[in-house]
Amino acid sequence: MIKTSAAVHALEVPTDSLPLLLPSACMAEVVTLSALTRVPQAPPWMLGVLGWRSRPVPVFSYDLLAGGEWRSPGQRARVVVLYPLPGRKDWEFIGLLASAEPQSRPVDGGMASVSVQDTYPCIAAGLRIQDRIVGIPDFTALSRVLYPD
Amino acid sequence: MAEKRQYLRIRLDNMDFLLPWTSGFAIEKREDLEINPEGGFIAAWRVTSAGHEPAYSLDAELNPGLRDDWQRAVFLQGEGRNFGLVAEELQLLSREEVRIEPFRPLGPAPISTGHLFSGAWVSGTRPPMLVIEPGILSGWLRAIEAQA
Repeated sequence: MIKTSAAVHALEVPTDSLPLLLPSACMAEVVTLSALTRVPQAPPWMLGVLGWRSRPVPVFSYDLLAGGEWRSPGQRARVVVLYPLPGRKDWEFIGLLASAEPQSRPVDGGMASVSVQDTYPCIAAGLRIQDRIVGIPDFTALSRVLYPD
Repeated sequence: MAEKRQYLRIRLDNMDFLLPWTSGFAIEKREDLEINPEGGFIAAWRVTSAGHEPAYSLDAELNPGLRDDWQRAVFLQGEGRNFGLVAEELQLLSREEVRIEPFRPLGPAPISTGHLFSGAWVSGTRPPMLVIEPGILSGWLRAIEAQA
């Protein structure tokens, strides 16, 4: 069981593989998926660059990063714009592709933890929410993948 | 912090990029270049007193691309050498027009010296335009040549 003294607000981001549970404070905005600029010589999971509030924001797919197959995003697809990861520059916002609108979830100590770290990359822990399993990202591991240089 | 300087819009294989414009760069017409009769990665050469400077033909992924739909080439300086890129379109943009924001691609850099892009221009609803780093591009082209 997850030991927390009070419920925290999180955002469940639907993906085609493992839904991700992010602290709401990580999220700057959720926007519709508009035309992205492809980045030459980028890995397949880096989908392109989004223009957001006059800033270029790189958008990535967790599904592809986790080794899944590419599925063309539907009309419900969204981009979750995240604040820069710890240790990154203040302009380094990143976009995470969501297959649908993320949903707000209160997370408390009554939720059962599930081990998914060995199956999915960059996941610190899993949680069972009703009939679903969601992954809590390991931001340090994610940062090493997104910024390996 | 946004930066104000002059940029050249370059279209390669239907994709637009920006190059930071400096005094050493030059635009040459196709008829003023020595065309490579075999075509390929090096589409032409600019002949100078110092020798032949290659003008490369790249696709939208910045891989070698065999194209003949170009009329001009831009010659840049990077890594201590001059080299060119043949382009479908070249347009020098005014300082007031372009507002570049810093940008870093995700994932590993394609060569050890760094990423090919350092900034981008976001204007209205148009997809962002990436700014090519000439020095890194020169290294990238050398790496392609070394593999050939």
